[in-house]
Amino acid sequence: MTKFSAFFISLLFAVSVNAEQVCFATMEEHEAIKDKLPNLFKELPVILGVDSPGMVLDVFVILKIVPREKAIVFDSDVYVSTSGRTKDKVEVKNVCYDTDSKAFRIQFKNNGKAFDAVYDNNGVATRGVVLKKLSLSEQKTIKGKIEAKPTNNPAAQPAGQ
Amino acid sequence: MKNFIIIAILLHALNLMAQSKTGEEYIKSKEDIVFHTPDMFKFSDVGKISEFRGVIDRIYFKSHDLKMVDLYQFKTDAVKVNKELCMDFVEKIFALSSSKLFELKTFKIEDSNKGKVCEVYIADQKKPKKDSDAYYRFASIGFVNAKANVLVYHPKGINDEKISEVRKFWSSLR
Repeated sequence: MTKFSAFFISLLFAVSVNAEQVCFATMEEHEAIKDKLPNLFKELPVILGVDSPGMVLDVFVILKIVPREKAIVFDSDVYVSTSGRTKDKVEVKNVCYDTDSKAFRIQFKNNGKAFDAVYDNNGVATRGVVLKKLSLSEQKTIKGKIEAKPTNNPAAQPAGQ
Repeated sequence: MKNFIIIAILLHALNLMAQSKTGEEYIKSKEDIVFHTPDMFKFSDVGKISEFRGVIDRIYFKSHDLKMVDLYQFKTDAVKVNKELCMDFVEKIFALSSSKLFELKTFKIEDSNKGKVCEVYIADQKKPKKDSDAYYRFASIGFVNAKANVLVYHPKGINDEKISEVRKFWSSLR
């Protein structure tokens, strides 16, 4: 084994040793591992959002990870100008964060589709958008914009008749 | 710049046409509806199970809380609606048995122009604040064209008028 390959293998080993996946399913577990989470996720509730009025498409998103007495709830409020508004909430099974890849995965009690995102310094990137951490007042501003949108979607054309 | 705007509008129109065609594969109604698949409606599928097909928009319906309806379609060998079948679907969608979020409020089986239909009303276990919504779910479960359909509404509470409206929409499906 050359010195270079020995160095390369030890480097790989060091990286894999440092990489760690941390998960939480309750407030107690979150408290225990929060030092390993990025700033965005150190305190619950986490409120993330997008405020992106565009030329062709408006997208407003508020996603919340909210602690409860016995559970953690994922709450969503989404407006897309071509589709309308949808709101939902679902109980979280666990939230996992990979300290190496900075990838987040939120899994749900009903085994519904997981929410995957990658953390960067600006927020979390997912599905072509970057969700930023929102303060309560920023959340209210976006919610106000969603609620100001017309109930009947002007872009929609009747179908299925 | 002008050409770019025209192309963008054309693409958007094509997009809507494709969306409608896809929707017709899943559900049709005598009412005016637009069907939004999860591909088109960003984030609408987060936390939804694989049987989730998309969101029905009852475009001329004024009351907001019965306007957007989640559609689930299940594969099943069953041919008749009964409580066991309906609660199996409800359990898959909401995980009620392990949930600390929702609880079952009422369950009924009613007659419709498509045979029996289950009506399931569930509520958030935490008492709603005055101005809060998204605390309730109302599901209509039954067969339409031999497919097991579950329609999930997000009403701000339920009353006779809303139940009547939900039944009217179920009857409009074809």
